[in-house]
Amino acid sequence: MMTPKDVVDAYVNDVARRLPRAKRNDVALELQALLSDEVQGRADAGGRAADEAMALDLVRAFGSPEEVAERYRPAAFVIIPTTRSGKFAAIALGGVALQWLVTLPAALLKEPGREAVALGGWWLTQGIGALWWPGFMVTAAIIAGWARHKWPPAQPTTWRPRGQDSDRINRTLWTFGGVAAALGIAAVTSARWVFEQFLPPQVGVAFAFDPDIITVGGAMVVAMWSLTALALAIVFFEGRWRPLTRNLDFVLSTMWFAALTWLVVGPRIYLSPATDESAKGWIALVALLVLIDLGVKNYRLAQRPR
Amino acid sequence: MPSAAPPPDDKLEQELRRGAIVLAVLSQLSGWQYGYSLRQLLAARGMEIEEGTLYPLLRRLETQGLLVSEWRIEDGPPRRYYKQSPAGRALYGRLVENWNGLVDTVGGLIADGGTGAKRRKDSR
Repeated sequence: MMTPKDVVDAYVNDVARRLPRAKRNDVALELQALLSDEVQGRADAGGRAADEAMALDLVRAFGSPEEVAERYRPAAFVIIPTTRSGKFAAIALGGVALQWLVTLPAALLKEPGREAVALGGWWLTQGIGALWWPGFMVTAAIIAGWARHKWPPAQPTTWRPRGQDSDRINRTLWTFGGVAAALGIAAVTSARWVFEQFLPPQVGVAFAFDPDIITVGGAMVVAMWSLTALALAIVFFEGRWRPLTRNLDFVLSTMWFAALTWLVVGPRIYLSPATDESAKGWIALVALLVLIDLGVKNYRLAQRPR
Repeated sequence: MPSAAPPPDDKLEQELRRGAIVLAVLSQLSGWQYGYSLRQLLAARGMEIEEGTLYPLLRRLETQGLLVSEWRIEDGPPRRYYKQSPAGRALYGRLVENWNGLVDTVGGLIADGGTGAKRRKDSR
């Protein structure tokens, strides 16, 4: 059997240990006096002596120690604003998924026939290691949240309408982009011929395509280039993106990602092993960029009001 | 076990009252009061505020610079007394003005009972 004072003391201790050290004693002393007054007030109103049940009723109505400590705590800083939590989770988990997508197939391909061992090794290194990304994001968000709390903007930022129509394209920039793309395609397809003309013959040999890839991969890449050029030409002549061309662009990017992934994991591209390995590395990087671009496009498409 | 969420009606009433609590508290703190005496004072005037709401609120208002406080010993244990700070006095004046304006506006709307809007619609 506890006395009303014991109940109040136990309750106040429970609240106080959840408070910041600097204000713990002060709040505890005040709360003790107030709750004792409240118990006595109830006893006087009821015309009987204060007892354990009366004190328990009071402190339970006052709130759980966690809730009460929360009310006495100064407002904490926000780490991730609620409007950004969905995007934050998507970027954090998407980053982990992307790393797994790149490192897991490479680890499995490295040890054919010993997939279980490769998987175990991958999990203990790059698998768990990929979790650095959400950890980094949370750390950055904590620092940013603290800075926002510590140095709030003197004036809230004023909203301004976006000056440009995001669907309209800049034809001058697109013209430069088109020329650069054409030069890039010419460089890739005629690398061997250029090297044969201007450099020692062994350099040209190093850039000789595998005849098999020319028939299958070459046809596929030429078809993809043609389709992409056609879709972009429509956008160029219309001067703006439309829902149909946006969706077409998304489909084409997905096809590009699939084709590039096939080139990386599939058959030999160049006859020279060193050139082939190097080329596959660069193609893997382009595939990664296409995947990131796809993610951005998907996000933008999802954000648009329908 | 988590406590059940209050029904929507209760929640709306609580929200309505919450806006008036700071004004009610400041109104009684032109002189020194401690938490319990303030709660009794407000209750005697028909403004019941739960202990769990009022006592932390006094601390928050003090942190915001709207109240000042000091410990005193007067026939009993040490108690923390509060009263309006100069900033609290200034805020109280503004809140009273806002409150009166709000009461007039909302009172007019309630008295109107939607008939004004109906009249405007009929006159078109």
